[in-house]
Amino acid sequence: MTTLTFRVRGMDFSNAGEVGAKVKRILHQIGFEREVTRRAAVAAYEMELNIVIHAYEGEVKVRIFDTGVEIIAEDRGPGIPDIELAMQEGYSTAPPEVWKMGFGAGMGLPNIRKCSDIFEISSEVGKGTYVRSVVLRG
Amino acid sequence: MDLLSIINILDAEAIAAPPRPGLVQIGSVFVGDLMSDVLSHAGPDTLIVTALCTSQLVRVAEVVDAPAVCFVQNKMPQQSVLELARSKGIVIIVTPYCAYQSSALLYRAGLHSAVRPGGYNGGYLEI
Repeated sequence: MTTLTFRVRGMDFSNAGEVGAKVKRILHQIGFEREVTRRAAVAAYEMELNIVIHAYEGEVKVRIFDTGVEIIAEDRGPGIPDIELAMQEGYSTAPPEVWKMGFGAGMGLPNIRKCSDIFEISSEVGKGTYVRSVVLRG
Repeated sequence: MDLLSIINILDAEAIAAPPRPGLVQIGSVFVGDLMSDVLSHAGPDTLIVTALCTSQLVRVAEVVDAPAVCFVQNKMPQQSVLELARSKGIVIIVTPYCAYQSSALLYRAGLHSAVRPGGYNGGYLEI
């Protein structure tokens, strides 16, 4: 098993996207199937960007097993008051200044769920959010 | 369809390109400016057509293995965006046409939309 940990800062768009790209490169290098690699990389990217856009800071932890990939994002931030609403495609609370950069489509969490074989989310208002995605091979 | 043909169809200029763009194969087209939409729909054979000339667009293209990005209306990215694209092996072309015209030209040339109902592995919506 390999574990990778990435620290992510809120509103740091200069480095945003590197987590997804690194996950993709590593899984590709160790021979994971293209579709598994794609799903894990997309989930990691969306988790990273959720922290960048919505939280003060956080961490994305990626654990690679022979059987698949587990990605966990934990942040310190405002939290999500209504998770069911946040999971709806198109619903977004992203600030307007990120729209012009192509973010805030309200597709981040739905994309993570679509890419995942196992998906969990929990959040506490005023504290932060926890998201877990597992992408399985075969 | 090879990228060289697409460059000709769009009267485009390749500003970050491999030595032989004819070897890059494109099978579908995604048109849009939202990162999550690109992640939902684009794949390893997709040309991304967009007005958003940012480094984020290049990073998203890398995540989904999209081989090429087309910036519309002669929008020129910053040098740092081009350098990032070159380092990732992603082709950047620039067309004078807008997104609507580019879509029409590529559709007429026989290319599918990358948007598939039911997600990346779903079928195409024919029109």
